[in-house]
Amino acid sequence: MSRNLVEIVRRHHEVGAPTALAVLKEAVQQRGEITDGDRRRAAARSGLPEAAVHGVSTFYDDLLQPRGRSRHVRVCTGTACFAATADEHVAQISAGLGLELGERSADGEVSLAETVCLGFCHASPAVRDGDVVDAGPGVVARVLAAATQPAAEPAPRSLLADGPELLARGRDWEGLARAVAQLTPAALLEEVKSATVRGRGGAGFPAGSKWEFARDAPGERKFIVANGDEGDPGSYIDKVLMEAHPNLLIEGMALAGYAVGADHGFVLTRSEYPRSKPLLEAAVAQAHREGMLGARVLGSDFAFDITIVEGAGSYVVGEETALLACLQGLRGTVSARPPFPAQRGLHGMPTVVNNVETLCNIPVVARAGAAYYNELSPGAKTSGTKLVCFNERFARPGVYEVRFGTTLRELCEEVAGGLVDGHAIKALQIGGPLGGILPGWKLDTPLDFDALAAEGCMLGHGGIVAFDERTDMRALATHLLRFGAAESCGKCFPCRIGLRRGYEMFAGGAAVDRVKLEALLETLELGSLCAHGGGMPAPIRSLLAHFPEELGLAA
Amino acid sequence: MSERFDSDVSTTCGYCGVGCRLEAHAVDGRVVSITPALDGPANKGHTCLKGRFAHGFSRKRERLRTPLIRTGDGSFRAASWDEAIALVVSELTRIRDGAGPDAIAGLASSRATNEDCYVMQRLMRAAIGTHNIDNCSRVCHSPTSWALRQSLGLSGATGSFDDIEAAGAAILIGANPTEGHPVAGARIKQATLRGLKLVTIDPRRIELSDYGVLHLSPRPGSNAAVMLGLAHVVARDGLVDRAFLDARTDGYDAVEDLLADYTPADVQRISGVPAADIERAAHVYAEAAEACILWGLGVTEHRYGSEVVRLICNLALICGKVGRPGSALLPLRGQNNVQGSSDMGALPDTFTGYQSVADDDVARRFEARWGVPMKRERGLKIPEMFDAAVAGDLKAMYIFGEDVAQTDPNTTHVVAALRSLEFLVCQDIFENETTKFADVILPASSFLEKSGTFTNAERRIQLVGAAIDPPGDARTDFDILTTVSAALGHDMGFATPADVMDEVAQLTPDWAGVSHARVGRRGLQWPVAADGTDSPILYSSQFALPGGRARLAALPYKPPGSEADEQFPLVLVTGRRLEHYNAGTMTRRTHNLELMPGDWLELHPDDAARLWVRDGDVVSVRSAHGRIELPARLTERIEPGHVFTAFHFPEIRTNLLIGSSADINTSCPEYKVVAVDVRPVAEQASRTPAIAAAT
Amino acid sequence: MTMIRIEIDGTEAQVAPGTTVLEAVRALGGHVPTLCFDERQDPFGACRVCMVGVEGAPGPIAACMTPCRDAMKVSTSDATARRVAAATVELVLSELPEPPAAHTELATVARSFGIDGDDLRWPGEQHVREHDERHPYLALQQELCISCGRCVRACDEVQGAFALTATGRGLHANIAAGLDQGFRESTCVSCGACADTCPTDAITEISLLALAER
Repeated sequence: MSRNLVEIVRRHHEVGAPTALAVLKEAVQQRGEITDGDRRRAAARSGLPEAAVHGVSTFYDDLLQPRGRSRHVRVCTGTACFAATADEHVAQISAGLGLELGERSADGEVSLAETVCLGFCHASPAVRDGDVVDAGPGVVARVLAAATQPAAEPAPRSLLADGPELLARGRDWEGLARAVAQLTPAALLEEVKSATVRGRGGAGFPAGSKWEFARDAPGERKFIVANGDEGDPGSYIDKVLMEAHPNLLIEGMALAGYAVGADHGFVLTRSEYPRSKPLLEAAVAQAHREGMLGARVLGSDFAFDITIVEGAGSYVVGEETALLACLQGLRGTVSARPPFPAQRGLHGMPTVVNNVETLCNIPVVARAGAAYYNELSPGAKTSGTKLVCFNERFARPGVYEVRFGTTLRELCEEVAGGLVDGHAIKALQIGGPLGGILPGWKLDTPLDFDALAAEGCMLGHGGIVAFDERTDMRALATHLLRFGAAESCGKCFPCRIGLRRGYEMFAGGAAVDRVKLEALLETLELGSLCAHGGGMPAPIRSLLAHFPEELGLAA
Repeated sequence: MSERFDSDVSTTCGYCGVGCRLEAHAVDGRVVSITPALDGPANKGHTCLKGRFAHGFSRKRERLRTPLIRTGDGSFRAASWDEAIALVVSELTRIRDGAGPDAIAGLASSRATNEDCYVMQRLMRAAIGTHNIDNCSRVCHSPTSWALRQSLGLSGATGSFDDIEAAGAAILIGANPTEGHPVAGARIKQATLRGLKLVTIDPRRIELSDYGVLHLSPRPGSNAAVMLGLAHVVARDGLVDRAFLDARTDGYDAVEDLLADYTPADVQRISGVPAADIERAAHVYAEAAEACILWGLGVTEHRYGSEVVRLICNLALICGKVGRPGSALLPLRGQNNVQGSSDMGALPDTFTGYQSVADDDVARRFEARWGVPMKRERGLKIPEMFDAAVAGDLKAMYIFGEDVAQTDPNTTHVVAALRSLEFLVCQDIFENETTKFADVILPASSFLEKSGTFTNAERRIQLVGAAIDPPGDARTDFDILTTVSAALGHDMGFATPADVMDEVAQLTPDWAGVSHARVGRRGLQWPVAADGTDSPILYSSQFALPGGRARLAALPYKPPGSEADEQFPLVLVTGRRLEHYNAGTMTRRTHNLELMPGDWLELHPDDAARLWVRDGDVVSVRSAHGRIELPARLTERIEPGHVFTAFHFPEIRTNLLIGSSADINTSCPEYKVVAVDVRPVAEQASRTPAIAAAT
Repeated sequence: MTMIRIEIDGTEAQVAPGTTVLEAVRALGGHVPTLCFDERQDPFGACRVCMVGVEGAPGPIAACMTPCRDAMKVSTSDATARRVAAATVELVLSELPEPPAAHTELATVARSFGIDGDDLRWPGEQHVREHDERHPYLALQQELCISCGRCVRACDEVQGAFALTATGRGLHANIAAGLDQGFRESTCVSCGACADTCPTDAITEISLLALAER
């Protein structure tokens, strides 16, 4: 990130200026598109130089898609929706509305765009009509008839015999109360370290270590940032947490602030989840009224407040440095590290960036202690529990709290009830589009970091997407590479160019040269700046290993 | 890169006092590209649009390529060098023999090299026999030179641009470096983004004001009050460095007494700057561990400019902020070699290294070397030269690389002076407003066509290399001046500019170790000891005054020479623009003219409303001395009551407006405060704005 | 200050803490090719051409961004690192509609890897030709831009005019001045730092383009 732009943004933030991104989002929401006049206004109000504002306006999907005056339809092209219909729903809606993706009608009234992903993977395919998300059987017809209705969302469930830990109702704020009353910040930090709370967003980095770096780093102020940018198609875990259990997140952030010495937290939510921000803001307001946030949390000297910021449509903003850039209203590109956010993050200050689910794990540690937390998944290497979610192919999709070490077979067949209509699991993609593909004959793999890595897969965020026998693996490879190329932030060369080349190798229909593909995958994996380009080879390698005959390789 | 070019020559820029090191790339005898040198000490691989791109003038068709002699009807005819020089010699000899050597005066070019300037002053002193030699620092930083010598001892910045990055705070007063010294301005801007606390003091909100922590807009002419106010707060709030004052300075007691009259409230009354801002600025400067003060012509080009520079020294001394990395006094010297032209003694009262012509020991050394006797009385300064010309006492001038008819104040008086001369020689690269009055014009060389050295604002002597030859029959200035001198009977015996520098080193204690070989790529900051050790930081243990102690000065505020009144209700401040340099002689002959084809008058919207001037209207600007016309542009970056423009365009002739008010110690003209009247030129002015807008 | 001991290609060296591997290699007189690096700017880590091998590391690392650590053993000729770096350069050449001029950094780096522009393994969509010569001195040839970011950073970190920005995403990433108005209408001060740093002549001086044509 540009040190100068970060400093300029910081100076303006101090006097209450909005970010350039916020001003641009407002413009597109009000008038459906962005003009140079809007860009100038955004520059004047935010203090960001005009050229930089222009750069921001060309980065985020929400700012690039023209919106119809009376109707803006966004059709999901995520992996779960692909698994459900092989993107047939996209073709049908496009044909039915008479618009290409990204096109606005000649009279300016109606527009169609693609979006990835709406978090309704349990009822794919999903379509967003204005701010109503409809999904499931009949959705295409309803969209074409302009009769969409909000789709239901299943309640999350816990499989822990003694009752839900993460999703504990009625135990809100107990962790925070205990910490503020009985633990010093250092003691809380030690507890979290002992609990080895591994990051739940994909990287698995121990939260306690991150917190310690930030606590020890010099800086006038420190920040806690919750990464709610759950852009992985197939994953809606954080959505459920933010929208149905916001107090858990608020409590986790406050605890992090307490341990680290931060007085302010930010949550970055996705614009593809339009209800996350308002629901979180309402919860924050309520938390203030109850004394859980503010200048004197629970009557103590500890002050903490939270601001909710909504993103603008970019998958890679889930990477922590890109996320911080987005929070500051800059282009969401990845920054090389060092410096790490714990040393120099938001506004140049030490910042902890944790995934939403990770933060939601903290209250139970604070409430019940590290030893208790470490025993939640007996026999597994990883402490605590994991939330997983299943896509629409399953009989009982939804979010579940499970123990680490549970096998995929148990999860898919017993918990989620197997696939609907007697379909067979051809393969699973776990953890998002950068996760390896687990073929159906390897379902006895336990759900845990190392066990999955041994199979060329990853835990990632815990989303489980099943493909049934109808899914063509070459189409899947093409789908994944198209997503990867479209979401590349464009900074590093291997990913920027290489993902596009990977997509082109598969998209044309021509035979794929395996040697060239492998060389490209090696370049992506070892050369990319971040896990986006670096991770994309994993599913392709899985397909090469387990389904080579379907990929159309050259002889 | 070198496969594309015939040659790559390392040199130093000929535009401003930053002194960027550049690489000039030539093909077929023309410079096609100039790139910044990565190891340039002042510019570190950066430069501005002038050094980078504005080299096209060097091969413009209008370049003077042959000597020109005025004919009877006032036009010029081409002549050979022999004829032209013979005429110069015969006329100067005639006038010298008839009216004495002091009837002749010379003006050295601050754009020319140290060697050129040295040769010029030697020509005037030894070949002609007069101390009537001056250079254009007279009209810009002569007050700085005088004041620094009075307060600290040496006439130059006490540190380098590197001190900007080592400082925690800085005061920038009367300068706009992002336009006048772009590379230094960029370094300051980057430093502010890294945490340098910058206080800007200027009647306009300059670009750097947006990056600083505080901006003060004093009434033009009230700088002294502001500096006294800052010192008052420092003394009052116990921020004085007593140990430093006691050990290394004299004169604080008188200053302390004077400061009692300059409370922040007093200063607010005089200057218009809010008292709270004076307090805050003083604390920002004094509380930083290291802090710099940078200033420009907005300080010097005033009636009491030299006194303000002494007050600047006062502030630094009482805070003990001189002589360490990060604590420096940095006057932003304007031209590429205005420091050097003065260092070389192209001044009426000093030889090289500011050694006084009145000092017997010094004078004898020069007399011995040159083989001629010299007077112990100083010669004429530039304004005195014009007065003497009009009076009939000065009969001839040799003007080398200066367009006084455009850049000097009181243009009418200057033109009258030039007209009065019996003989005028101009040595330049283009015809200009001054050459119109010449009897002989000698075609000279630009910085791209000569070798030698320049001295930048950091006292850094840097090498200049010839990338191309002078065009046509034009010659290097070194060649012309030494030839003219020899023709006048004084053969200096220099084969090359390097020889000149060797002589300078022998005659100037502060330059003892300087030679072209030693200057190298890094340059040398004088004083340079005989063994070559140079001086990035001055005064780390001693000041260059008797006893090694600096001198504080108790100088009260006095009003400027020009103040707004009923007849002339606005105050004009003049300055520079980024794209052009001074008279625009070089930049107006490059594509920079496309980037900025003309100038405008900056006017505050409140004043514009009162005067019925709309944005873009052509206005007349009238002072007691002259009148100009130019378009107006409304901006809130200037205070109501002030207007601003630059002086790069002869069509606008800004300096017609400037009178003869000048600094009391150095005669530097008061360009920065002129009372003017502004009104729209067009007929619509007779109707009310409402009607004008409706039609 | 405790110095850090490292080994580069078998030669031992001591460096100050905070020194990057690239700085250490250069200080020893060694060479690592780069495209997005400029010593006048903070390291950026975008081109991934400065890859070197480090003993014990899971894969090659970018020398420009990686701080030296005590007992680090660096190999600039590490086969994997060179292979990945060369492939990256090959990818870059594949997006340009014509090869870069011989004098440019990109061409020099490509030659150093022995890459033949006519035999690229991954051909595909290329940049669209778009020229802007509205400025009297600076020419912008958009199709040559490889999004290394150096021009944007020069305008930011060296000059401080902030006239340039990266635009777009993915393969269509490029740069623009101001609101894509060209240099003259933006806050550009014509210092030329962008042209000076550009490794492909996407931004270059008009006078030099004229030279090339002769």
